[in-house]
Amino acid sequence: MTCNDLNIKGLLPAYQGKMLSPADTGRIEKHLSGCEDCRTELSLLHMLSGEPVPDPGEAFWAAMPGRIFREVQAQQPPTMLQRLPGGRGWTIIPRWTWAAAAVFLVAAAFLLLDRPETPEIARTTVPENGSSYGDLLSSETVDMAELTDIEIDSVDLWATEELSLLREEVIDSFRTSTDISIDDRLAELNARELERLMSILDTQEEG
Amino acid sequence: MDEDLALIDRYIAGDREAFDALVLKHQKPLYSLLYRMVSDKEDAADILQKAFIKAFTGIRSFERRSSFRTWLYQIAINLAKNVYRDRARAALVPLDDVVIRRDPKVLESLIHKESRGNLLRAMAGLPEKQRLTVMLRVQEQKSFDEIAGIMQCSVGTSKANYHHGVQKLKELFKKAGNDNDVQ
Repeated sequence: MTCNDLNIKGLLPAYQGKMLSPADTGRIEKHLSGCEDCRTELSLLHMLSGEPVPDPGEAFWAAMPGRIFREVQAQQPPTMLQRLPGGRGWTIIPRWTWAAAAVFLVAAAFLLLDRPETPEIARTTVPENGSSYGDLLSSETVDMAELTDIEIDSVDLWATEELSLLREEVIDSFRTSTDISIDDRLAELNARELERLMSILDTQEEG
Repeated sequence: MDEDLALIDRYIAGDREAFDALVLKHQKPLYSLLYRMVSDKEDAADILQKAFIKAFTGIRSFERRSSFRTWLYQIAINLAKNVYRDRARAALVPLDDVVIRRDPKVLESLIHKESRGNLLRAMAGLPEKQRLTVMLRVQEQKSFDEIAGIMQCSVGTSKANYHHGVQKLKELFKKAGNDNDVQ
């Protein structure tokens, strides 16, 4: 005869697993004594639960967390800071962060090294120690094609002032010099300085 | 707070020991279930590892509506289903179609010493939901509430699946003449 006491049947697995309270255990045993259907079911449950499960061994279990952790690390995009084992407090910065930082540093270094001096400052400021021709000639070569109109105006202004001072210095030295001949002074100039001087004189003559 | 949820929070914050604790806590019970599902040691170990990896790589998608164990079991069972189905297509046959109607020798064998093995084979022929529910309830000692969570169904459905599955197995058991063993 089939038993329809679903409450008892529902408790049979827990009874079989010895997980019931003493009161429920007593209730189940009382029912089982008069119910063949439930005894059959309990026997079936015993049989099912008695199936042995082979144990892979302690070495397998001990290695499992590490194995899974490595796989998770390999598969997971490194979007969070992850501490190294051992609680040393080290952090691993995600690889993309290192890559981004490297690109940024290279770009910054490139810009700093390749960037021309600011025209307004470099070209319009007269050197404090006078308008040395050497200062002018030692200046970095500038490609005019790279300059804007404003920069060209700045350069023009600076050159006018610089050459005006140089011209006055030369003329004044000619007037006041008694112990140094013009030839001596001219001899101190190198070829480019002489060429530049000649150019200035030619310009003045034309003016 | 649930112990597992606290461990998950610690893991997300970078605590490797919390990760280990979660794996160590759940690996053996889950392996036991998986072995019963696929009846193969290597397959069970492989699915176990895949289930953990899938769970931890997708830990941020765990919405904490259920316990971590329930969520982990869902993942593992779904992975095991695929293995089981592949194997079933190749080797296993439905209980009702063959075992009971066409092959009385199988029924007779249930009264012999290997009746447990035959019973397990018979169980393998149960509809999937009934089989899994019986397995979780009887072999893993899960509550119906938890089974409902794992199987993603109502508690009533999990109870119905359990009773129908057990009833079917019991009928087979009785027909095999094993009633005398029951006491």
